[in-house]
Amino acid sequence: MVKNSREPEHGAIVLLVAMLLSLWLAPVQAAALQPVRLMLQWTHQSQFAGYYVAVEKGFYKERGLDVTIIPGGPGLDAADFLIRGEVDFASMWLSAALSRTEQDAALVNVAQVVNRSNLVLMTRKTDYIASPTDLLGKRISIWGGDFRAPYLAWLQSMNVRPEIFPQYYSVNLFLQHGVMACSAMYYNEVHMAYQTGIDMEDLKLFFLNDNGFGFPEDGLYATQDRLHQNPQQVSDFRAASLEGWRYAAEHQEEALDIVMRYVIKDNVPTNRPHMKWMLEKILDSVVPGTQDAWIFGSLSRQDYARTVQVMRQQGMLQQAPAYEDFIGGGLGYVP
Amino acid sequence: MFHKWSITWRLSISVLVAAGLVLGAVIGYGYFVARQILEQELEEKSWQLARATTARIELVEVAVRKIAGGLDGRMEIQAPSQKEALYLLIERLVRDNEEIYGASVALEPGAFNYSQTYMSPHVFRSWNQLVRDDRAKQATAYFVQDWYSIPQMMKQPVWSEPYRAESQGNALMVTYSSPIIDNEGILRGVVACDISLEWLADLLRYLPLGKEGYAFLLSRNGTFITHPNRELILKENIFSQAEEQKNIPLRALGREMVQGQEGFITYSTIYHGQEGWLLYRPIHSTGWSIGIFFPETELMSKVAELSRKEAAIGFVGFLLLLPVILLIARSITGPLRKLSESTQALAGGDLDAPLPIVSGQDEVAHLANSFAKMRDELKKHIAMLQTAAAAKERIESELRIAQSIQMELVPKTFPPFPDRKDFELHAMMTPAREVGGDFYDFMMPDPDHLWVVIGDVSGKGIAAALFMAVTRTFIRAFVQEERSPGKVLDRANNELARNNDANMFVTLFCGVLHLPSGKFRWANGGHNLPFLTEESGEPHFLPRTKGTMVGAMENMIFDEDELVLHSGDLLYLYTDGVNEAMNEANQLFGNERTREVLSLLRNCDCIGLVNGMSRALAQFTKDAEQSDDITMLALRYFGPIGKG
Repeated sequence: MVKNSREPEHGAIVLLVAMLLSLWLAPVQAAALQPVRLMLQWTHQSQFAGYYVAVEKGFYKERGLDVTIIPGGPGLDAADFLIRGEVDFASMWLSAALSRTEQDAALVNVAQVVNRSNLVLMTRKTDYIASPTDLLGKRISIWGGDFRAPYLAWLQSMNVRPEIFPQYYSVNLFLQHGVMACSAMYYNEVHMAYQTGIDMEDLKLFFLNDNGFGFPEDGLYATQDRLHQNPQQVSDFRAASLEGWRYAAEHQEEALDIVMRYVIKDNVPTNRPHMKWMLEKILDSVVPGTQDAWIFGSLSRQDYARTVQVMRQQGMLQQAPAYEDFIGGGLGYVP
Repeated sequence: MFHKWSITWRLSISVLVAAGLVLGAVIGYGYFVARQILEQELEEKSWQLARATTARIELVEVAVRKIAGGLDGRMEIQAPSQKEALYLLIERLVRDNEEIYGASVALEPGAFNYSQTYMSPHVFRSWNQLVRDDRAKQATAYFVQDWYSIPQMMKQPVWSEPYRAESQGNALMVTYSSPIIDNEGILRGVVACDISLEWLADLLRYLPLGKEGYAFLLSRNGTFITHPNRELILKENIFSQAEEQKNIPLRALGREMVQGQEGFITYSTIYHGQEGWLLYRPIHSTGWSIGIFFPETELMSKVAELSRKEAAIGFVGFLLLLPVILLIARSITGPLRKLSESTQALAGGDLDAPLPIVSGQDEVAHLANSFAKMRDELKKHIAMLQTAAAAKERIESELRIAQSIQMELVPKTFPPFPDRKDFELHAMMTPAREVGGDFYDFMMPDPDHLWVVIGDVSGKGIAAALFMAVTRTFIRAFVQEERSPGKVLDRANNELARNNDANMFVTLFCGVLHLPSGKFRWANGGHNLPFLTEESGEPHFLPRTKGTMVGAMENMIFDEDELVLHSGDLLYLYTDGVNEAMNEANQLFGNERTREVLSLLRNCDCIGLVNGMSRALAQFTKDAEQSDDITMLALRYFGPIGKG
């Protein structure tokens, strides 16, 4: 097959044979591969590189999983789909998963992918913001929902009370000088601003993580029910996903190529340099460096406790499951 | 190498090269100037285009702003009315304004005390119909959208970033949204007009920018709103391209553009890498920036085309110029070549060879005329030479005659008296080219007396020869009748002087030797004194006697003298051709040298002496021409014994 495929004139025949073969093999494979649906919390982008890589490199297939990745987006909440059972796994923030667990259904943390917070408050140096205290009484915009609590907690900790406006899907209000500061993901909006012509040295970024207000972000979740029905599948899904992330970290150009294929296929309005930036930054917060305390793919007890505490403080959470329950008794963590 | 070529080719090539340089300079200068002019014109044209395009866009903006403002106004008036009334209002606005694809009035929750929390009546065009739709029912709440939230928060009208409206066939759209603020300054909602940008893309696409030129629009964020490469629209922006290509100047350009600056710069396009010029200018109302690119090649292609045509015309001109130059060159060199051939014939001696006729007044004509003149002069000169040669020939023949006369008259048989043993005698005469009129003679009228005569006629040539012949005849005659040399000279003098109209004369030495006694008597008519070499002594002159040149005047006196010769004594008679012989340094042979030679040759017989003296003379004069006859006579007396 491989030999023949080198000869173009045999291409059609090879294709035909391949199709016949696959038809013949289909029932066997169908029996072997379990269809699995993963929903992302946003549109395709480098933020989810590890999953695309795991699909494209066949890491899921190796474990008998036929994974379909479904992008989220404005108005498409992955948690809704997960809870309704329309998807098997979902990528969501730790804080979101805690909220939904309290409100709707018990979710289980299959893997904690992004362990370091990327939350940033973005300001311009030209607006003379040297420290967060300079924001006193100034107009700033902060995302709502799950993103809101860390910012509010951080501002409260410094006793800074700016005039806060809701921030939605873009940073255009900030770019048009409607606000002096806005919430941003280091891997995304910061570089978006750069791509509107603001040089990095003209930006002043406050990393929430620097003041202890950074919390674990993207994680993979399943329902507790799913975990109990098919613990092996959950374990396999976790292992394959993390293998994808590992591979992406080690083959960044290839990972970027894969991301761009998804982006282009879905006509996402973005570009390669932006995806490259995002991939680099997200990988920094997924794969621990020598200075970093977290364990690759795992939610630590301390981070969990810290997150719960801040959410309670902000009135976003009353009750939280025990750490062991939330991580499925470690079932999801079985290598 | 070049100087080896013929004048024709040298001239042709020089002229063509010079003309080529001039042509090249003209074309190059033309190209340079045209380029500058074109660049200036281009810049002007670009500004006009940019201004016109900007104006077009701003016009729409003004219209939309007015419409939105109008809607605001009516909103305030009709605030408490029904939702249906809003729909009708919006429908009329959309229907009446072609630029507007769709419009909506989004109300702040609770505005105007409506029961609905959210309401956003929306009307848009679909297949030439107006469709109603409440945006509040869309999946994403309208108040989180930029088009609502930004004017809401900034309390001023805002142009959104361009986007693709999936609900409207992925059309490129931009929304102009304006906040509705009531009299108390409270925000009631936002009026939004969706404007399709497809017409904008068309507008830019059909700008007269040539084949490769193009225009593009950047949003305030640097996003490509329109660009000939549709792949870039909305996804890429000028900064992402700069980042991707690591193109620092492009990022700087992008910053200039989004900051609302304007300029005209040389630019290498990110699109197909072409060099050219880029003009950029802000569209203030929307916060966008327009860029217009003109490729250099296309702009210069007309100039290049012109230059190519000029070069082609120049080349054709060269082709036409070549035969003309060849013709001119030939018209110069042709006569020259013919002249050259003719002069070679002339040099070969053919003076009648025809010379080319060159008409006109130019230098070649002058040269030909000069040649003709020279030929004529040559001919004349040669004719003259021929005449002169003939004259000379005549003179030469006269000289030959004179010489032959002279030589005929002197006895040339030696020994003259072979039976006489009491003396020996030898004589020699070498006439000069022009006969000098020398002569010698000797005779024995009786067996006891030997007469010797030597003479030198004044003048030269035939006259001298004839005078000499006459003189000799007289002497011979008188020797028969007289016994005294003085008497002979006297009579000869009178005879010669009598009818001597030519005033010629002759120097004569005449002597007679009485052989039995050895007594020698002589008379001298103005001639060189002979040498006597006695047997036992050195040569010396004979004693002087009184006497003048013969034939000049009548009745002159010629004294005589005598002495006795002894056996072995030698008399040497000569003319001034001997002692006045000159060498090339104009030195005379002289009497003293004559005497020395005689002394050296004293033991020779008469033939040896005469020949020896002749050799000595030849040695002295070397190559100097003999100017006078050389005549000498040697006589040695052996005494009376010779009788037996």
